[in-house]
Amino acid sequence: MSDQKTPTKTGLPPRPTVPGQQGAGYRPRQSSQWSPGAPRASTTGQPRLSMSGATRGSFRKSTRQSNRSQGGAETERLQVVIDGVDRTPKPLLSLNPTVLKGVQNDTTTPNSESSEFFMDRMSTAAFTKAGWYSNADSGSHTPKSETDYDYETEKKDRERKAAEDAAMAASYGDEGGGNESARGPVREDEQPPAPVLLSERDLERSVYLTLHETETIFIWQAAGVTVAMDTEEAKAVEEANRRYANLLHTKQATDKYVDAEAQTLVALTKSRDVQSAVLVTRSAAVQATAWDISDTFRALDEAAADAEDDPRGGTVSSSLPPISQMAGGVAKYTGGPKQSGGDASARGTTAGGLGRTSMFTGGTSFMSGPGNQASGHMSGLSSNLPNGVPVEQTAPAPEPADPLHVLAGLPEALMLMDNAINQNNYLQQLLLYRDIQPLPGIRSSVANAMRGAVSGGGGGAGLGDDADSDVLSHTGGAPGRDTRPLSAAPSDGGRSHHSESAATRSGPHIQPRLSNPPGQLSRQPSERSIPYSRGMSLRDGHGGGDARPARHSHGGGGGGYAASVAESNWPEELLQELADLGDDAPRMEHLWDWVCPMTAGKNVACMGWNKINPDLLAVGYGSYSFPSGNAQTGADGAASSEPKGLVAFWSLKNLQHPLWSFEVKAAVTALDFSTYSPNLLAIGLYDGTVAIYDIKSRQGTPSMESDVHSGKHSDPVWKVKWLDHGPERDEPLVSISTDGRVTQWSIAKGLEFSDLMKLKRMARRGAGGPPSTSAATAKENGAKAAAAVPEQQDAFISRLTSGMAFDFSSRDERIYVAATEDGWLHKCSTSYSEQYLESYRGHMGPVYQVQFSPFKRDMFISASGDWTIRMWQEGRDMPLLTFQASTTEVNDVQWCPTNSTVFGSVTANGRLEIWDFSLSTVKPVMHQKTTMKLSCLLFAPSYPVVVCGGEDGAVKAYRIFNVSHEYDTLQEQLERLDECIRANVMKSQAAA
Amino acid sequence: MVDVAAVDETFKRLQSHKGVLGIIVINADGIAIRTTFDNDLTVQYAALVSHFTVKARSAVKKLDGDNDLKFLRIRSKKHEIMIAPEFEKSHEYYLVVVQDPSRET
Repeated sequence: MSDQKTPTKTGLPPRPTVPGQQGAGYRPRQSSQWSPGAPRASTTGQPRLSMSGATRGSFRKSTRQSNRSQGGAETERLQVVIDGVDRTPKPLLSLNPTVLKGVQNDTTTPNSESSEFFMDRMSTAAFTKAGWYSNADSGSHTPKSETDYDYETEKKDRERKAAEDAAMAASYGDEGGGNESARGPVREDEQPPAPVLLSERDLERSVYLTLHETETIFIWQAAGVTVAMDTEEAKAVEEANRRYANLLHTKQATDKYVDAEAQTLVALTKSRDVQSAVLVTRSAAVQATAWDISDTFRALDEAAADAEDDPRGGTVSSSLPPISQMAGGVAKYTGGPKQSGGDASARGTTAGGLGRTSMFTGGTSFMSGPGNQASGHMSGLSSNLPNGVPVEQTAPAPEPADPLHVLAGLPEALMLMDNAINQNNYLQQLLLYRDIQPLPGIRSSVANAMRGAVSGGGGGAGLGDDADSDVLSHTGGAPGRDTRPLSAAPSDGGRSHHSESAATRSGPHIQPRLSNPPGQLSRQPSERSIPYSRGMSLRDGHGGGDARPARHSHGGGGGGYAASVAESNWPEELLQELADLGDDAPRMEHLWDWVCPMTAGKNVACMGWNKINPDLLAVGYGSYSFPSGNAQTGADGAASSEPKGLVAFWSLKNLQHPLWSFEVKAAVTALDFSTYSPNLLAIGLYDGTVAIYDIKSRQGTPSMESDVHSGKHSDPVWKVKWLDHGPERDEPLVSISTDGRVTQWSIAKGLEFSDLMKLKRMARRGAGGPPSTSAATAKENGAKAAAAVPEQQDAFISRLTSGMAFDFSSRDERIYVAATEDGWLHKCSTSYSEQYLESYRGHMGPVYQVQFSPFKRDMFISASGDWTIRMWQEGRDMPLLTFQASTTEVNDVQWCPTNSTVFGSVTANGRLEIWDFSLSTVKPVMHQKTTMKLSCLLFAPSYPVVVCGGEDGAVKAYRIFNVSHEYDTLQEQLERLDECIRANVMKSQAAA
Repeated sequence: MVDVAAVDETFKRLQSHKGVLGIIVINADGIAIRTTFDNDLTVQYAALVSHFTVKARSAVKKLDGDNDLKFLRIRSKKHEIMIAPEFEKSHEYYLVVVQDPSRET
């Protein structure tokens, strides 16, 4: 038993303990009847009970009443005596004795409720000894009831009980006194202390409990006795047995008799799933407001001031007000330097909350029953922890000043966000780029913005992009449009899908697009076959009676066509043809500029699409001082000004910032993506280096690089190109440089090189025949291979000429055409490194670009510094066609991948020109004037888009309309091409 | 850790985009550690957006436990709210950008 110091809160008077009715008056009787001859085993010891006065009071009362009922409402003690036998109903159930633990409880805090519960529990537990009380006076005995601790069950009303108790104590005083005297001394060390007021300090003081084992108690012991029948004692024993049998017999008739097989009652057990109540957790969020922050900081400042005043440095932290512990959390709010400890203090607060929660749990576990006493006690102890005090871990950990430091992954998220915003901002342009018809209503602003560049013609042609913007946008933004009379549209030759398109439109400006000039149908049948979904048919010409929108000042009958057309001296027939085309006239819209501050001002020298991801454009920059982009007449010191180059990777995801970029040691003059290793990018530099970058690794250092020992060019590299020999064979890289070498690089084992050709200088003024001994060439050139060639060759200072560009034939992978600075084009074979197969003469200046036609595989086109673009065919040393639109150098030329008669060019005075020699060989069908020198040009591989770059560092993207013929078969493309060339060649011959 | 200079530069770039009304970075406690809005609006966004994002994430994760929310765009009549959340415990945050796509520069 443990000592206990239980402050009594109930006000019951302390009372001597009466642990049980150990009355001598009945025990001998029963014992002698039950086991005669056995030495009476008197109780050798009494359980030492010590309990609070309140508990004792309860016990006493229950002692009196247990015969009547267990746990019933305590009223008057009722005893039923019939024929001198106590017939008082006995309880059917009782609990086995358990070890009585006087529980030292420290929970008797001012929390009166929990302590009261505790007392109840304890008293209940204290008297869970089994058995029921038989009154000594009653004369009826219960054999089982050897241990005669009475017990009590639930008590709800202690106050009333207490009063009752006092009365009963008086009436049964004599018996109780006897019992007390018969019992062993109650080891109650002292009377329960008077209730004292506990201070906070007392509550925090440690309380030590010592539990020790109780000594073994023998309550009763009986051994069987056997006597011989012939002895004297036998008679007495038999008499006793008979009496006992009698007793049993009468006993069976009594109410108290219970026919049970077991001598003891089964202890009631209760199984539980959990030993403690469910932990209640709750999360709380805190949002600081402005005044909160302000107050907190004020408190902080005051605290800091106090701390400075306080001479004792050690107590600074403790002198802070509690709110300062929250300040860390709030301080984060402002993004200031005092961001520390937000997490820690938040956690501290949470822990405090948990502490409170556990206290609460402790309270509930008290209610959960006596079996849970131990855990309840534990909880009670834990609840004694200082609840209100935050756990002392709020010491602010040092953190970097900027909270963004800790947010790993933030740059990626920002990049993502950047892309998303970009795509929002450029949605219309991107849709245009993708050739997706914009939704109604979206396009209007774009259309308005584009209006200046291209406008439709009026007059009989009745066309213009108002037509399609009208159809596409349904906005009816131009007020004049709504007033157009429907009847103005002539309804000759309606076509079903036009009617449908009209039917789908809504609003007051519904206008059937019914008419098609007959000439148009015959002229461009392929256009008619374009699926409706592409929206092309919507742009078909319509009735000439359409009034122009008010914002266009073209007269109704005026011939105002695309501004570029109207302003220049177009040949009459071209104007007429374009006019006949109506809304199918080729036109161009500026989509966007790929430019960012990093690239602005740097010359765009070269571009290349990724072969696998056609949305990825690598752009090489080099702000070198040589005059015109990739046009350079030698390496004469021009590279000295700005050695650094840049390669940027632009994509459609973000038009204002490259996906990635890296700097290189010299101006980038050429680059190309590999086809089968799309992550490999080859670049050529102004200093002659050829380097290969693995862009997947995102390292700004080349994975391979040529140096002086490994065949580095001694002059700028003007073109690099991976040769596509199919997936089975390796993919060599070929470069050409001003130093006259055409070099093939292999990356199989490092960067190995082999020179395909050293370009030898040819006599410009010679008869034009190359010094080739090739029979074919000789035959082709006939007698022009003059005898003058050999002696002139020796006169050159340098026998090598400068290579500017090359292109491989798709017909024969060994055949390529090299363009040189002195105006010659040489057809070479990788099999012969010494001689040209053919040479083409015509250009009077350096040839900057050469490209084979994607359709007619023996035809190629070249751009030159002599202001001309020339079209060539293998086997003919003179150009088929010559194009000249302006009086500046043509820096780049590219075939359109989707139309065999279209190519584009850029000039040094900033013109981007798209030619269609099926329409005109004199003027480009459309052009765009920019304010800068343009140096390179590319058609997008799969979209009707052309991009060009120039010296201001911007890569401009233009959408071209009505140019693509991507639905034509190769045969149709070739037929058109052949027809155009034949007609034009005949025309030029006739003119000659 | 993060290159703060690069982050700052990207922040500036984001802000310079057409129609971008504001950028907020909210940390795990719902506190805005970087914002371009005024305080009231920031508090509102911080409170509402983080709840919404957590909700959206739970939807994604309930549909597929291995999945996770990477980006959230709310297109409203006036604005587009874009949220790039990061739920990694060590550096949980929400990057919020509010844009008015129809606004001209």
